[in-house]
Amino acid sequence: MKKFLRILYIGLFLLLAFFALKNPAITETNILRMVVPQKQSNLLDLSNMYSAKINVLIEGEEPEEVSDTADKFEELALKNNLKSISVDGNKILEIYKTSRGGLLSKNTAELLEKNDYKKVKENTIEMIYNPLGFSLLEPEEDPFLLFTDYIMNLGDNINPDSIINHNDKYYRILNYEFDKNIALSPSLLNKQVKKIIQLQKSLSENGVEVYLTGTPVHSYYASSRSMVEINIIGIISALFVLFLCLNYFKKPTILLPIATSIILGALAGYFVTALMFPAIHVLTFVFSTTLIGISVDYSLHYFVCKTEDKSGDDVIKEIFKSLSVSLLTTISAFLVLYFSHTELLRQIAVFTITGLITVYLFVVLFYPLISKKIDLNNTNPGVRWNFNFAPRIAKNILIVMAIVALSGMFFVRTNDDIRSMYKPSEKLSNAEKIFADVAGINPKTSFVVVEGKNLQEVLEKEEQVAKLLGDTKYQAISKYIPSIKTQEKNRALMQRLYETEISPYTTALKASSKVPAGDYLEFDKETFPFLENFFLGANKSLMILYDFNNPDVIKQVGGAEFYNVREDISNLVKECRINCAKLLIPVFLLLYALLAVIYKPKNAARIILPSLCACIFTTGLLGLLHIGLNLFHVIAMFLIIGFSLDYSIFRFNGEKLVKDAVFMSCMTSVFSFFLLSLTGFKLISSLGFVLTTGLLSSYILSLLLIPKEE
Amino acid sequence: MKKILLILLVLSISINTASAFGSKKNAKEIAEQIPELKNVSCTFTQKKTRDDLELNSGGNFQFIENKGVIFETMYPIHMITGYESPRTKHINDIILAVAKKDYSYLDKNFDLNFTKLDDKWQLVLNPKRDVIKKHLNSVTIDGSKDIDRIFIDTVNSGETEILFECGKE
Repeated sequence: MKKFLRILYIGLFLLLAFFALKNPAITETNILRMVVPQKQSNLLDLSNMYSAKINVLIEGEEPEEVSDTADKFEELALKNNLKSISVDGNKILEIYKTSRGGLLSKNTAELLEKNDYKKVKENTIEMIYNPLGFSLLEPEEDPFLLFTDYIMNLGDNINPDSIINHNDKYYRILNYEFDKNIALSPSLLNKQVKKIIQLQKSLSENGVEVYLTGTPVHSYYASSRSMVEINIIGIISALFVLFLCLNYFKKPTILLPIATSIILGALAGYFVTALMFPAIHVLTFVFSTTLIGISVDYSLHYFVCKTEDKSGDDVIKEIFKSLSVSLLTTISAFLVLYFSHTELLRQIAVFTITGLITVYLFVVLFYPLISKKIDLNNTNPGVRWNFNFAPRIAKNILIVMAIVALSGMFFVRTNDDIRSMYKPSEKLSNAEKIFADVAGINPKTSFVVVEGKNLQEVLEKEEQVAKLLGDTKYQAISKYIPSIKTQEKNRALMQRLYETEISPYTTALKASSKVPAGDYLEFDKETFPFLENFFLGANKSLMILYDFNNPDVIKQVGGAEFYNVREDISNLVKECRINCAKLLIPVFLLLYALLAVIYKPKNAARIILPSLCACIFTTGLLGLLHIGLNLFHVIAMFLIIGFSLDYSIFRFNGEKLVKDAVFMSCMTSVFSFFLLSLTGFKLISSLGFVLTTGLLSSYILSLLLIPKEE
Repeated sequence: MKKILLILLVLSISINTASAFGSKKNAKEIAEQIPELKNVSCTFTQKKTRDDLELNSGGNFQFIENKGVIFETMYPIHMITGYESPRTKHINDIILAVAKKDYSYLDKNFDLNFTKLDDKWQLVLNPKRDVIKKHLNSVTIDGSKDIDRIFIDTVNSGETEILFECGKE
């Protein structure tokens, strides 16, 4: 039977490997994707809007240095097949000219609607006398300069070629956008970003500084740093396990099955996650390092109990209940995460559950077999780490922990701001700040997503929204391409002006009193490539609003929805945190019920109490340290339950020797999480801190609350 | 005064073809011969001509370093045209490019002709790009110690001659 199960295990593993490697999943590095659920597609699209854009900011003391460096950058970037965003202004202007009969600036259209021809004429005269003014058309063609007025009111963008003076320094901005094929592949995108970073380094010299900003740059540094940190943490954790095992077992060979089990667990976790999700987030890999801590537990329990007088099968029989209950409780805790709406949590759940089951099965099925081939007996039986506290000390520890927990509860606050979970390096933060200052980017940018049956309906709705915006500055497709309806209306307004005013005003010009005929202006992606970014779908568009404070009015337009990405994401995180926190009580009840069936209600309470108290203590400590409770702290509570219940179960079930295994398990986990708390990614480091505290406190509590072998 | 030079550069679209002694130079070489522009206040008179039509105006002029120009027309109508107006932003950008010695911008957009005879000099900017060429023929700036005149030749709006008289700041 066991032989069959072993063959099945190997067969299943190979099958998973085959299918997973056939279509390998891509690695997702976008930080926002981990919290924004798929159903919020608008929000996801908005958060991804800038995911393929890089801004290059060149700073210098002298304008010519900046100019020269910008030229060099563009030249070298072009050699690397990186093209800056450019617009064929000439072509656009020609197309506008042919459709000019329907084009009016917002201000002029309003004046004409009110029949205020006097003001329109005054404006025309001002334009004529304006020393810097010029006409884009012959006066006969555009006697009231309405077309020039329209075009001049279109652009308040920064001239792409010009140098900006800011705080006594000179700047030039270059924009690059990667095409969709590259943008959708993090590895390709990172390669391109690397090239730009190399250019940045080579051209930042002699007083000229080149700054890079934009999502791909953040993703590049975050993923590079995360990968380095994963490797370092993995190596140090492995060395720590090595040290502990060698110190306790005195046999290096013991590492062979342990390492094999961890590798198999991690691989199986990856295979199943890759099969279930199209992209695996880089943070899922970071969390998977925790697998080392959990899965080593099973091996340690086996080897601690594997003395010379017992066969491998005997040991498995002896620890089978502990291992199985431990696996069951950990899976139950992680399984709850799978039903959250957050993709990252679901991936962690799948990765960890698969990894744990794989390691568990490997220990149960293969360790007895390996023990026959290699001498892995524990030749040094005897409890080495037997911590029992004197009643008075135990009481004092409990009092201190209770004080921390209860007093901390008064200071507990929450923090769901997504920005607080990712802290870019000082260099990147500085670059973003300078870029925002120089480019005059308003930090209060919000969006309106407009949906319609067709493009014309979308444009009409955009125009309805624009009317509600008052003086708020905005960018939208309809600003550049009015709806046909508006163009028809403008044409009628213009015709009335011509018929009423053309003779007295323009006799000398011999201008026609008829508005020029011509095609209506329509969207064409080859002519207006810069407008493509405003499309979120075939009949869905995006309006960008600057410093808009009255989102409720947008509701007046059906099919238009207001988004403040930062606030909306933070609200989602908050919603997710509350949902997760609500799950904690059912999880405890579920685990208690499970344990009560196996160990009787009274014992189940003793087993579960250390985990429960550890969660309360950790929450109190966060309050005392003024660390805002966020979604990831709540997730950490699930991990604390998953890990620490094992300690109580083994301790409750185990023989004397198991105490050593529990201690070693705890130490490996605490050590791994402690290393995580030192990482640069704020989210991970705060999680590492919470888990270190939670696991350590739950271990101490298990010693206090389950002092004797039952 | 020198400041005005820059302005001239920008605006000038001279009908004049480059003078016999003129030579095509890049902006960097020319900028070395043009003094630094600083804040200045002047009066100006402007003559716009197109076919038989002639429009005269005048008023006060100000150049503000790193921001641009402000024309306050006093007659025949009163109006203020500042660098912040979207209607003049494009031309103001060109002026600022000259003021900031943004060689890259000027070289990309204009062929520059610079001539100097004794203390008199002239700078002519001829647009390179089609999109500008279709609206602007050239900008000519004449000066000696100070800038005296800007001549703008446009495709659709005729010619504009602006004469400056700059007092002390």
